[in-house]
Amino acid sequence: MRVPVSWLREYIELDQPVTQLAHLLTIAGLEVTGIEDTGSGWDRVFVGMVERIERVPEADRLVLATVNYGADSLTVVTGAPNIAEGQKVALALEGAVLVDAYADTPRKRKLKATKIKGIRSQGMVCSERELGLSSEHEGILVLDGDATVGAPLATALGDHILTFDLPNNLAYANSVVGLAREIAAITGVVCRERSVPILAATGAATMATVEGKHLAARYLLQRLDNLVIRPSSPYIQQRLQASGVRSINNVVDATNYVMLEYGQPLHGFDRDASEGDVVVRASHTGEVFETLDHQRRPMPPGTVMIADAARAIGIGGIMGGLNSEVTEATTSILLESATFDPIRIRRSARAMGLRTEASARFERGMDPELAPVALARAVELLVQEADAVPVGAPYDWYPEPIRQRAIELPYAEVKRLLGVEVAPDEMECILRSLEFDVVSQPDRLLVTPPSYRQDVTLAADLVEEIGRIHGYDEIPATLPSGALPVQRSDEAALLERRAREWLVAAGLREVINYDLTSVAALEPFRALPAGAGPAFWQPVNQLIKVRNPLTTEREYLRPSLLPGVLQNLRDNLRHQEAVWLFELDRVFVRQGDGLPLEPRRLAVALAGLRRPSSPHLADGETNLYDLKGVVDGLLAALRVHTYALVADNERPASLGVEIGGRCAGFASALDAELLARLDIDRPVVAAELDWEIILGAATRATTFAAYSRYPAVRQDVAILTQDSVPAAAVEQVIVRYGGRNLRGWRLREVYRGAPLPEGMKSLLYGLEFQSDDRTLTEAEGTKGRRAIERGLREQLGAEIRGSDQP
Amino acid sequence: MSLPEQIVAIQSAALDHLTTVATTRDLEDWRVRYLGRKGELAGAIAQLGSVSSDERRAAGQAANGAKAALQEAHAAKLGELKIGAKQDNALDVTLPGIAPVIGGLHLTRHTLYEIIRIFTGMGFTVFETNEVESDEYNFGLLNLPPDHPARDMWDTMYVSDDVVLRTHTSPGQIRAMRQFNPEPLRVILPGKCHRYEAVDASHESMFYQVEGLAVGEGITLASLKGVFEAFTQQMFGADRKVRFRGSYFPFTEPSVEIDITCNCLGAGCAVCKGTGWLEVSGGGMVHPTVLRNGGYDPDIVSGFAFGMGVERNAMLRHGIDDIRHFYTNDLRFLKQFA
Repeated sequence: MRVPVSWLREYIELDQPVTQLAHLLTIAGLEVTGIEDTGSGWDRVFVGMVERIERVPEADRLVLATVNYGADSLTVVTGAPNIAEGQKVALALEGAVLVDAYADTPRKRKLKATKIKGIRSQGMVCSERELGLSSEHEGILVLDGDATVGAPLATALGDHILTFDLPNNLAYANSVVGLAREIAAITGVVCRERSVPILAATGAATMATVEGKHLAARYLLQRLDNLVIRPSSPYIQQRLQASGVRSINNVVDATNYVMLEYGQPLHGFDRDASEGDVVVRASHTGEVFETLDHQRRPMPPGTVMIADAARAIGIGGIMGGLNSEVTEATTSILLESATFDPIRIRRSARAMGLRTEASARFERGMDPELAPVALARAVELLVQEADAVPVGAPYDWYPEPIRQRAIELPYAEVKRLLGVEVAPDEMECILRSLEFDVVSQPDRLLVTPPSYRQDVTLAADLVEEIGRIHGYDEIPATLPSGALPVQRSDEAALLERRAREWLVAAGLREVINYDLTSVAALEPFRALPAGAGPAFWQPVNQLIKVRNPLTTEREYLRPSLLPGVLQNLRDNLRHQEAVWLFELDRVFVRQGDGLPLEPRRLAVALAGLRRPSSPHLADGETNLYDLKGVVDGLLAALRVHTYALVADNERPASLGVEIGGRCAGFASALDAELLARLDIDRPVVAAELDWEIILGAATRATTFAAYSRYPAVRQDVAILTQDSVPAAAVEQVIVRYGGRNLRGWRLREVYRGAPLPEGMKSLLYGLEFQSDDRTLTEAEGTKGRRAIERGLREQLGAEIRGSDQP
Repeated sequence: MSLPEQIVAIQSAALDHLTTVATTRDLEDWRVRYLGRKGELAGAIAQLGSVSSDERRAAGQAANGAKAALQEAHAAKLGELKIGAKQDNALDVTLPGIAPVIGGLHLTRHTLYEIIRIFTGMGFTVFETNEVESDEYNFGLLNLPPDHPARDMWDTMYVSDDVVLRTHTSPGQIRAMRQFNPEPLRVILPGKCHRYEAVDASHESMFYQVEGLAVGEGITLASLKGVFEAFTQQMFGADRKVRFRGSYFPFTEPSVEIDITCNCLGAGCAVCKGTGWLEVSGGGMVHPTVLRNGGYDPDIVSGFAFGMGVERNAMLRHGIDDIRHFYTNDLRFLKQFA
């Protein structure tokens, strides 16, 4: 909402600078988001009076005007069609800086004296556009007759325009009068009351039938005859324009003016459009209605329609009908001031996609007591502006006048909620300044809000009023006192954090993706295994779809993290040599009709160089063993004791991750076809694990195990075996035959190629033998190694290099 | 050759040999050959018994000297091999170091963890709830019945008539209160939220929020100010201040906007549009209806609640001008922060 300060001044004395006023309002909850200073750039622009107009020879459109600006008169050549003798106008002298009305992009220029058709033009009479007031440039700006000739234009027309962003509950303040009331309470200055002429009390000239109070709490209708439709007075036009409302004609302008001034939306119907009594009814099934904006609209069920016996003439509280529009030919109107049902207005406006200034106001609830006041004010304006003659009294349907109930406010309640002591006197004073009716009792106040404060129903509401007027700056910062609540630790969050930190230490970067994805992004994953482990792809009809997605890119709740992480990987490979990513977050699984399950997953995707290239190291391309190392290391770090990474016999270069015998995910090198579909041209290894299973199996604390203080004996064993024998089989034999002193083994080297025969490989294991109670001899180590060598020969047919071979 | 001479010869041969040793494995072979139990030096020492006493004394001294020299040489060589390079005067120390590979948390997570750290330090417990929520929890129980005009404050994505993607973390208030009432409560509720909102430099359709909630006897708006000030000074700097402005949320009464002093400390800059203040959070005293919906008696206990955007916090802390950077996951962005 834009509000000219000059308009506010009609209702309240303002002494403080406008920035101070804006600050006070903002702190009290009426946020001022902008202060515009119109007239700040009007140096050398004055109020002038057009004394004489002469034609310019050989130029039909131009006139020579003599303009007096107090000190002197000068002559200007102008093409303004609306210039007339006796007008007060904005006269710019040489050196004034004005908006260039003919430039395509906004820019300013300095006025110089020129010669037009050989006639010297010493200044300029300005349009609104040239003054930066609006885009209007059809003619010059005509000032109000009261303006003082010779005064700087800024004193006549300069103003501050405040822009407000009002919260929903302060709808009552959404007007000049409403704001003036708020300012009165905040600054302690009393508002000026405007006395509005009282309309005739009896003898309504117009009748209406309102179907019920479910449509409108109050409905007033005043007949006005003898109207002359013409542009409004300059002051009305200027105020509307400053408030961001376009001036249309005196009748429409008067209703808009009153809406801005009092907050009550009004509507004028051309009386020729209706026959007989007005009917306020709910829309008929299938009813179609053409609104003022030339749109034929189907009326949602339950819409409030303003009609006569034959047809509708407007949508109550939202928009008038084209058939009853006030035009230049209009001479008589029905002026409506009503309190429509907020929920009904809201539903219809939403269903139609037609939110108007009026509907926005009705939605938030209007004060029925305001309707006759605003009507009277509009009648007053129309009498002045359009020569209107009110006929009879207004029709007034108000079956159940509102009664505000008194609210009990114990004094202690203010301190209990705000944490600051406010004296009972001050509470009372604040509430009275807000026009609340207050009765004080020994320990409490009985407070009745004014009719326009239907938002105030509880003691807490009153505490808010006291708090914001007393000033939130006065509230101290204190830490909560009293017994500390039990602080509960969240094991799951802790473990999640440990996992993330471990992965970061292992060189992976965390990504966070949108929960919403598209069918197109999921489709390539159709081929991934969906069986025992977490499902990475689900048929579209099992996904959870958002009804009103912003784009088709984000339409379905993701069933897997992998599509997002792989997309991040692809995008980053364009400019990064190493891309190691993980995401640990929720996926969504449909669960009957209830809320979906939101299990967490961990996705890892690695590609590119293992580490950034360095002159000291050979470049290494990330491979499956990097991924295996990450998964292995993480599960061990989380002390998941029951996990195993097992070869997936169905797919090459793939591992199943089992925890406690259950499939908890996979880790694999992605196949070429999937990579091609994802538009990735480098090898990628990726894993997705069911975090909930990991969470269930992770153990928090580990128990200290005493380590041996005696030195270990280390021996190597190198074996030659069939290429097809998996390392896991070799290790099983090592464990089985190693004896009780075998403490560890580590595969140090795998070798294939010359001079080894085709189809064979060499594996070099380092063995470690150690005892807890003594130093082992080299011979004991050798004995252990020999036992292992025997086992390898017997179980796997392996040759022991160095002893079985020459 | 006399035995002492033999020992000296072994010593010098061993030292010569040592210059050719280039791996720890070769060094171990060298050790076994010269210093081992059956090594050359041991062999020579074994002969001590078969020589004259004079020679024995000389040989003994030579053997001790040789053993010490070889052990020392061995240790030195081992050290050399382990550090992988000779102390080379020609080493170009201006070559880049080998950087350890370390990843990083996402900026949002990093910020979230920082927020959680500060609030858990003040006795708050982390409490997480669903992202897909019922309309009842997301709105109804928060004093926003159907057709309430304030519902427009949240542009909502719907899964069905009565299921939404949560538009704020506030439904967690009800869930936490229902779980823990009538005990006093201090929780923070972090999580992803969704809005049906056109995306631009300062709006995202998905973002993280942290909601704080304290319920108990003696909780006041002043406590909210105290807690938030303590948070602000840890998060943004000890010189920051907090101010409240009147506001409106259906689930708090009174409601406030919470501003903190800008990075310019009130001087006025482009970030705060000259006001010196930054709006970082909204909150207030939990509405009596909401307390009641959570199972508390609003006449006995009171509560404060606040909610803030995690990305906005990060943007203010790091001078990020476009929220769209967050979930593009471009490493050129993410690597700058962790």
